[in-house]
Amino acid sequence: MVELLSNPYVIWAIKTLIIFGAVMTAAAYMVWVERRVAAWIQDRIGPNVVGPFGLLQPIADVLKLAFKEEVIPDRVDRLLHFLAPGILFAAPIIAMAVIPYGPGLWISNPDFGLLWLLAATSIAGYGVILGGLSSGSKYSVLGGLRSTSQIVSYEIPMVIAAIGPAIGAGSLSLVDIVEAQKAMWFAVPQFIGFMVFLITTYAETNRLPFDLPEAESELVGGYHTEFSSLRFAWFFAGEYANMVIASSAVSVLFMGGWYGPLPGINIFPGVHWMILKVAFFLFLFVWIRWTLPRFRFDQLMYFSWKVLLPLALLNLFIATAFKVIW
Amino acid sequence: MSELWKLGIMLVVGLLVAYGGILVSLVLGPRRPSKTKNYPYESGIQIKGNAHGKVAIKYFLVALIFLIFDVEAAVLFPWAVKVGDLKLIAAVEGGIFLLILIVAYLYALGKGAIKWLD
Repeated sequence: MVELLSNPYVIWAIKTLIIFGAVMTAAAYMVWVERRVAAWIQDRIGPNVVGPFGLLQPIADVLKLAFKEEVIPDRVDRLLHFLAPGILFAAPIIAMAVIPYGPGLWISNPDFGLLWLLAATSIAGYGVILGGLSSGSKYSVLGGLRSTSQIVSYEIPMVIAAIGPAIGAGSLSLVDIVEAQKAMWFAVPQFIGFMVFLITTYAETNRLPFDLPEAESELVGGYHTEFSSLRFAWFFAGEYANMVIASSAVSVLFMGGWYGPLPGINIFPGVHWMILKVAFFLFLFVWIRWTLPRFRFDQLMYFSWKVLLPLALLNLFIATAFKVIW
Repeated sequence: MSELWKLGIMLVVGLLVAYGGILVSLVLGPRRPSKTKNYPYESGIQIKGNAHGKVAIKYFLVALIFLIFDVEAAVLFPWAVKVGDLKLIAAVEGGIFLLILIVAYLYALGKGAIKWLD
């Protein structure tokens, strides 16, 4: 038994299972958290029937959807209709492979970790785009078009803001980036980059105030109008899994990962700091959704190209100056 | 086991979970298609024309600007890793590179490439 537990392959498999299980559970329970918090903000009760405090609601939802009929309309491009929800759901699983959740608690630590993270989160956008364009319904095609230009526009400030931590750490490995924040979080010198990255994650995960591709009041359901059964569930769960990954990415890149806020309070660096930070950012996602109204499409484009992009470039300048002078 | 193998395993796990789930649900769910059920949903009225109609040129312009800046960002990553070691020289060179792109950005703005309202 002891021999088995000291086998590096077994240790790796256990770590992988812990991270996979934790991220998937967090994604499933975000649905419950969102509905409860929405109810709380709107002075309602929310789901409270299935299990204690409605805690079994996500399981009930997924089971119900899995046993529903898969309606595939006539005008649909069948191959892309099959591929789209899977892309959106597989992307967060692929992205979580490089995120370090605690000291030693990561699945993989390649020296191109940041690039892998950005690539995997951008792939999720393809799920939304293909879902909209393959549906053969005018509402979905509009949603797909909107999401194409939205994701493309917010990708630029996001990637340029993410260069800041790479400059600060002098490495693209996410573990090195966290270690470089032991003395001070990157959110302190690169506050602008932190804000730009945080705002763009809302656009990349199609969350309010940037949920134009979905926009239920004008486009019915947008890109997922023609999806039913588990394909719809994957779109739904994929959005929440992508939120978990986005929150983890913000925590790792700018908020010091598993390190505490001040060097003095670094006595207990560990996975609990990471959990606290991810939980905070996840709550922020829900909080903002029920606080801010939706952008208009031209405002969305102006905001990305005329506000966020110059700010991201300014952050690049600050990060370089800080690194060169220090 | 190298880090690349671990990434490869997660890639396969992700795809298996995602597409395995969809295939399982195809078996689990009932299958009763009918003519009206298979119409695309357009508020219940009679469908006219094809969904893929004309697309506004603005989307194309945004895609073009994206292409320029995405390549730029890709070039900046290796630079970002080394700017801490090479200090001032790398910082100045990066500044010149960005300056050229900022000129292009201002040109696109001046031409009204990101103008969404007439």
